[in-house]
Amino acid sequence: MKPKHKRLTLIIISLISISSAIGLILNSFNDNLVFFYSPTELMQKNIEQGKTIRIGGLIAEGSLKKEDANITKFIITDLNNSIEVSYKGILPPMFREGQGMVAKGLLSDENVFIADNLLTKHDEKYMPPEVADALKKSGKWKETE
Amino acid sequence: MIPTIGYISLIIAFALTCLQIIPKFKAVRLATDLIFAGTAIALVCLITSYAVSDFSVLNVYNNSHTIKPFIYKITGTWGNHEGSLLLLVSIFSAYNFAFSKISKLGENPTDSIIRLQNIIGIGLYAFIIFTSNPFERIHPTPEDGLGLNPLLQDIGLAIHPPLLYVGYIGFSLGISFAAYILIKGEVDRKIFGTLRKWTLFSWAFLTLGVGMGSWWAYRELGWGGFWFWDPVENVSLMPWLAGTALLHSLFVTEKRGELTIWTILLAILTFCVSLIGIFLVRSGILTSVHAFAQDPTRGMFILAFFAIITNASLILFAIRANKLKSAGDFEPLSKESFFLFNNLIFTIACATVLLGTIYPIFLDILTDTKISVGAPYFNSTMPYITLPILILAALAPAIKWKKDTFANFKSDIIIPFIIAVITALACYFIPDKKSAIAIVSVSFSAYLIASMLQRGWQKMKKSGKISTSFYSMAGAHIGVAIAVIGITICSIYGIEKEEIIKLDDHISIAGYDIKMDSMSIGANKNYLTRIGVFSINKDSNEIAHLHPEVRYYPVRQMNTTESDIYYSILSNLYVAMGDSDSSGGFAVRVYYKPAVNLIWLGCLIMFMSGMVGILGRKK
Repeated sequence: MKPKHKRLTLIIISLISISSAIGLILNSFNDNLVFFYSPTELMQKNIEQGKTIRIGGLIAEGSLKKEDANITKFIITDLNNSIEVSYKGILPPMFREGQGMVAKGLLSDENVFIADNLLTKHDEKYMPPEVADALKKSGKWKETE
Repeated sequence: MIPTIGYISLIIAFALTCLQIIPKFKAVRLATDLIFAGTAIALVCLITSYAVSDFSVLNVYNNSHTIKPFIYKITGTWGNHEGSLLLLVSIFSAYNFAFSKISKLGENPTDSIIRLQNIIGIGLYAFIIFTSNPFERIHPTPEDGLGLNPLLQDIGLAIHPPLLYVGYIGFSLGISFAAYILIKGEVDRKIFGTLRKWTLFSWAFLTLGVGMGSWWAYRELGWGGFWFWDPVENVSLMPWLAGTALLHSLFVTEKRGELTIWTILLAILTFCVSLIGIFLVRSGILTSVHAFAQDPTRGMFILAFFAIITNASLILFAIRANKLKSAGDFEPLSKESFFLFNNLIFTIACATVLLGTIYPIFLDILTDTKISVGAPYFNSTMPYITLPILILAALAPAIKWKKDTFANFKSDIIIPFIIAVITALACYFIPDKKSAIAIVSVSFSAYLIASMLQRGWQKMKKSGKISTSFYSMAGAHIGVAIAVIGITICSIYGIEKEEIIKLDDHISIAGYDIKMDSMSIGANKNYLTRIGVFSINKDSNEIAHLHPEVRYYPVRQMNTTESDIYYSILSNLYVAMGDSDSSGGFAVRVYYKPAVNLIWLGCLIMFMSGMVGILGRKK
């Protein structure tokens, strides 16, 4: 092979692999974006039921109810608006009332958020940035210390 | 007193680092020794403050507690933002110290590279001194500390940050070597050989660190998984992918003087993705388990530092790269082109992870829309991108440099091919669940292992001995294949069950029968606990008892789940407990994890192969 042909072959193979990788990436990228909403945004925007989203806020004081050992119901609030959440499964560590948290799941017909994944922090001093933002937007953010 | 000594030593180290970059300053080696000594003294002082619980130090007060077990007081030193940075600069100075002592490159190159390292050093030391002083004092001295986060009290967690740092920060030598070569404008293969050893060292530790972090998450988080595509996990994976590419291209450049310019670019980019990792984790931008701090000054500082280092080195590259000579005349079917495709795949894989990790941040900054990229994105792209690597890794060692023909290595692929086909058939017929990806992934891995063993056997037959560099290469490739088999089998054939059961109830999973024998409540020094006793039966023989716990820590008002795991060679059984209900039922989650041990075994083999490659002398 001439040097020119060698280089061309390599370039063509590279371009084919790069473009198929880009195709693969873009194809699965859009399907897997999960949007985040605060309880207020949930009220304002019309969000499709059955689409996976994440919501976040504080777990409202006194709202925690156990249906049985495995089903937990509680309210997530940004202190202006709130939404009821139902979660089946073992609660993550650090889960308690007043704590900031993010839940992944979908909206049901009765405006209950069915969570399949709860994210609390491993450190109780820490507030998830999304939650801090949601509280800032609702005007209830207090700078501590 | 001790914190003051630590703080002063740290400042001296910083001052000397600044001196190092002045061209007229001559005592480079002496200053390097002193910087290392100063930083090490600072680290020892902070560790001592933790050990004796000196709560006049703000950092100790925030992150330690008198009733914390002693070993976790020590490891707690780097379980927080300031302390972990001090550890980072200590490792950085140790690298420079070691490099200055054992470098065989000669006086001038060694000193120049150390000076370049110190440019990075100024940024690191300034960051810790001006934004994250670990020795800040408080008055009056509090009675007891605040820090007792139980999740951080685990040996797996305590070890993995130092390992990761040894990996990340070691790649800084890559960028300094690259800058040196670019400024000098000429290529010396010996320099690439030296850099390859250092990169191999960092890579081996990064591999071990990633493996150890995953092992901690598996045991401690109680979710039964070993990888969650959490942004913080991703930022440790990106340097690993880039570093793996770099190791391979350095090999080509060292042996053949080819791909020089690409290797230099890759050396720059590898350290840049390590810096992205440090930036994302330390700035608190990410919602993640590791984000310690949310201080915007720190975020801005690291961002500026990252921008300066990245831009400066890329500009230098753009101006000077065309001065370098690179040999490069090879056929599409040659060792070189296989290495090139290895690099292509690892670079694409790294970019894929990067996109999924930082896209949400850009979208948030630009449009104030908050999104996250879920695990399905990574799961549906990464296997297809990375699986071809296994075949390349199997073939590349057998193919000749420059030019080869298919007829030449045809005989080498027959036996591995037969083994791969047998494995594929076994994957199709043995398990109940049919999975195309499992068949491909496991048979490719089998192909790689078989190729390596066959090649070793051929070498043995031909020359009667095997070089350490072959052991290192073949070992690392086999380690990768073993880890891939573990990841595949565990993700595809693993089973999860969550049920509410009462005393003496059973859960059956994958041929095992799990029975809840008893439940009791106890108290320990710093927590209350509910311990379950579960007996595990297989074929009506009792094989083990497991004791998962739910702990409650009153100081922190938090619960933790302590899962318990039955380890056997082929699989793990993993039991975690949740809450109870009023009728005496307990939420119990059990996982059957086949082949999961192979993941960590694979990482360990990769680490040891890396060590063999460094220690092995060239004949």
